This record gives sequence, C-alpha cells and structure tokens, in this order.
Amino acid sequence: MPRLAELAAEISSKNAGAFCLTFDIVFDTRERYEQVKRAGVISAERIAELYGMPVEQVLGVVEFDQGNAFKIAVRRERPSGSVGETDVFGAQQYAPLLDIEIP
Amino acid sequence: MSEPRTGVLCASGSLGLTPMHPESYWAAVEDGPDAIVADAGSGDIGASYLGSGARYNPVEWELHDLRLMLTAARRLGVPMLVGSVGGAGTNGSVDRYVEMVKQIAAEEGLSGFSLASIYAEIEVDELARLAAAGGVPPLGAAGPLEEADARRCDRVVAMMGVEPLLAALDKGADVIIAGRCCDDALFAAVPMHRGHDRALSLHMGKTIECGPLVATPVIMREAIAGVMREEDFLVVPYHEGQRCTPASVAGHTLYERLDPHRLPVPGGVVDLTAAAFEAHTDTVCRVSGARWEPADPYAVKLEGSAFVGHRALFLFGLRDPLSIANVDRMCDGIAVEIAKHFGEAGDGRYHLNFHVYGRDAIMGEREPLKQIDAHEIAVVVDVVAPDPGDAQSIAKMAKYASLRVHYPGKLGTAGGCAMLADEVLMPSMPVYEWVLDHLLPLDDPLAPFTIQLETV
Repeated sequence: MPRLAELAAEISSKNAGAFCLTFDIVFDTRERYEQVKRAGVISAERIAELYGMPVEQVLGVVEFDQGNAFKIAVRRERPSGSVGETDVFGAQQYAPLLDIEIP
Repeated sequence: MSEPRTGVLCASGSLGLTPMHPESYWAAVEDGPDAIVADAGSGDIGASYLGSGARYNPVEWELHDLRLMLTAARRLGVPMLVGSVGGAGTNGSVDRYVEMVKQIAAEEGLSGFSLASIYAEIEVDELARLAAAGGVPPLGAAGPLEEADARRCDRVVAMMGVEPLLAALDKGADVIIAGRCCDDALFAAVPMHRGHDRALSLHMGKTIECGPLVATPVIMREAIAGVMREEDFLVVPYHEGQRCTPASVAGHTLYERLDPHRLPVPGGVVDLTAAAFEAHTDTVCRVSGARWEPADPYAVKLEGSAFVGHRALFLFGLRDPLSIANVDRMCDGIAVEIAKHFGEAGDGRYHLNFHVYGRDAIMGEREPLKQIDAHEIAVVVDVVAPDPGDAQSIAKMAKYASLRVHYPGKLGTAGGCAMLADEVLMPSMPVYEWVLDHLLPLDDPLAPFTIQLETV
C-alpha cells in the first residue's frame, strides 16, 4: 500500500494563531486527491490516534476540493511559545502523517 | 462602482525579516501598482516580542525595505501601507517605524506627503474593566475573559480590521504605519477604498500577504502583485523563475488558517465555498467567487502577553550507549539535585524542562515513537525563572549535575556528558506567554485605534 508521503505533493504543519495547529495535505492531481479521499483514512479519529490526543482536540478535517487538499486543525496542548514549548511555529508536527497507508 | 482595476504590490512577505530582492520588486513597480504594501509582523513569533517590545528584525533590514517601498511609492504617487510593524504591532514599534520613514524621507529628499500612524494597543485597565463586566467573549478560549486574566497581561493589542486603514486613506494618508493589523485587511484597504468588493479584496489580501509563498517554486523575498478587477483578481509573480498556478494559489489559501472555506477576519467571514482558481496565463492565476458574511456584533481579535521569567539553557550531548539508555535517569538525577537547592520545579520559583533531541524533543507528548535509535543524542535543559540570577544558577546546577549524576553500570566516571560549551546560555529576551484567546466586540470599528496624521 502506498504511504501518504508517496502520493502527496505537500504535507506540512504550521500554527494557525497561537492556540491551534493546522496541517495541509495537498495533491498535484485530482486523481490522487480523490484516491485518498475515497480511502477515507484521513479522519478526526485517525488524527487523534496518531497524535495521542482526545478526538475533541481535533477541531476539523476539511476536504478542500478546489485545492485538491485536506486541511486538518487541532488545538495545541499549550499556546505557542509557552514554557515547555518544543516547536514554536509548529512546523515539524506533520511527520506522523507521512506514513499513513492508503489502501 | 469600483475602479476597473487596482494593482496591489506585496513588496515583501515579511518586511525586514531578511532584505527584499530589488530586481523583481523594481520590475513590479514598473507595472504601476496602485498601492505598495507589506506586512511586518506575525502572531507566530511568540508572545515575548509583544510583551517585551524587543525588535524582531535587524534595523538595517527594516530600513532597507522601507527605503525601497517609500522611494517607489512617492515616485508613483500611490499609497504605501505597512502593518503589524516591528513583529508584534506595539505602539513603540509604530513610533519607531514612523521615525525610520522620516529618516529615509530626509535622506532621499522626499517631502510633501501625509504620514498616518495607527495605534492598536489596548490599556490593560480598560480591558480588565470590560472583562469584569463580562464584555470580552471567547474566540477559542473556554469562556469569557476573567478580570484576573486580563490583569495578568503586560501588554495587549487588538488586531485592526480594514476600517481604520480606510479612515486614514479618507483623511488623505499617503503612507500608513499601522500597529497590529489583520494581514488580509492591510492588502484589501486600497482596493476597498477604490470601490472593490470587500470579500474579493480580503481574499486577494489573504492570497498575497505572504508574498512568494503563493507561487511555485517558493523563492522568498520576491515581489508578488494582486490585481483586483470587477469580478475577480489576478495573482502575478515577478521573479522569472516563479509561477502562480491554480494549485499553488489554492494551496496557499490553506496557509495558517483553520478552515479553507471560511476565512474569519475582523467584522465577518470571507466565505470561499464557491471560490474558483483558474490559469489566466501560464504564470498568472485568476481567482473569483469569494462572498462576504458579516459578523454580528463586529469584533476584533485580542492578543495579550504576560511575563513568565528569564530563560537559561544548558545543552549537553551523549555518545555512550549506556548513557543514552539512561537519559531519563540522568534527567531525573539533575532535577533532584536542583530541587535540593531551589525547591521543587513549578512551585513559582522556576520551571524546568528537559528536551531530549534524538527522541521526543520536537513533538513532546504527541510523539508516537518513544525509542531512541540514534548513536548520539542531545539534551537541552530549559530553565525559566522570574529572577534572572535564579535561572542562571539553576542552569549551572544542571551543568554540574549532568557531569556527575550516577546510574547503574556507569563507566565514564570522569564526566558524564559532552558539553557544547562550559557555560549556560541566556537569551537576551525574557519569556512571555500568550494569555488571551478572546474577541473584543466594537460598536465602532475605529474606536480603540488612534489615528494620527502629520505632513512630512
């Protein structure tokens, strides 16, 4: 089964404001986007499981057809830059998405 | 009735972050834009810049970019707008940017223009009074702002919408230096002032505010323009190696926002459910379809920053596989040694965190992989304490303890770790934290934003 990293043109993470993180998964072609969409493997439950967070912390998983893209938003455990911060911009938080297998 | 066409040049995706590249910028100026605009700040840079008022960028780079913008804007006779100045958009940064504009004007022999400053700070006492009356509803927070949380803030800014910018343009401003400002509004102001549709102007603003991030390939600090027309806008690159394609522009709609279909801005939401992205030429993208959904009441986002302490860091590395296997035991031993002298962490005197690079320093509790596969790892001991002397001494205690802490089977008894330097590192800027995740409802969108005009 292909991994998400092999199908997507962009997989990234970034803060959306100081209190949330957002993940973008963008595809070069409509076919690949539809393939992943049909597989149904990108869901709030799956994100919660991958990141070890309660599903309520996942604010949304949106299919953005105009951009052949998925948009995921989660609430941060603490605001960006707080004591104990590990990634101020949230720019390396996408790594667990890379290995999602697409049936 | 709008002007048939309004070109907005994004001079830099972040003014002063690194110097703009002049070649594509001057090519864009040759096209005769109707406004030259740059955002100069971000919430991403953390609460410390807002709280401390520290400069985010080297002043030479800020001057470099402001000089390019001012000389071109005055030559063309078009408005120049800079928002969220200095990184956090504090009043002090507005004053500093105004002085830089005047300095450049004097050096370049530019005069006879109207310079507007727009301030965005909210008095903490005023916010506390509003919070006590239950008047500060949550944005993402669990509930309305409590008075005590308002009083914790050392500095608060409100993110202005397009209205204060339009008011300054109405008064004849040629150059606008704005405090904390919604990026999208900063770029939408001149098109809206010339009669273009609000939703389309704001979507254009969202699209070009980060400059070349909207293009492919991303080559930073190059010029990008948004050209408003009656029913759509064009996204135009000026570096010959860059293209704005439907994929790159639609993809950028996602950037730093929670929901690609809905862009919340001061006063409402830009609804992009019906947005369309099409190739206008091989390098220019055409965008249409944004719709405006007003909010009731009109509200702006608040950002507040509270002092936490001073930071001291000690960084050590481990190469012995047995040391690596015992890294948690080492960190526990260091924490115990510190607690003997300074009390328990988190009791108000200091915060202590260990970041184990090679394991989970980047993702922390979100990290799904907990084993260490590396042959070497690094540990950053991260101390934050209100008293800078405490922070330094605690980090020095960590240094001592990291060399001496014991674990079963330890062979390297001469010193248990590799030090990057035999000193603790103390960043110059204190640590602040974000406090507010709330909205400020406004009867008048101009109310908290003071506009001052002067002739240069």
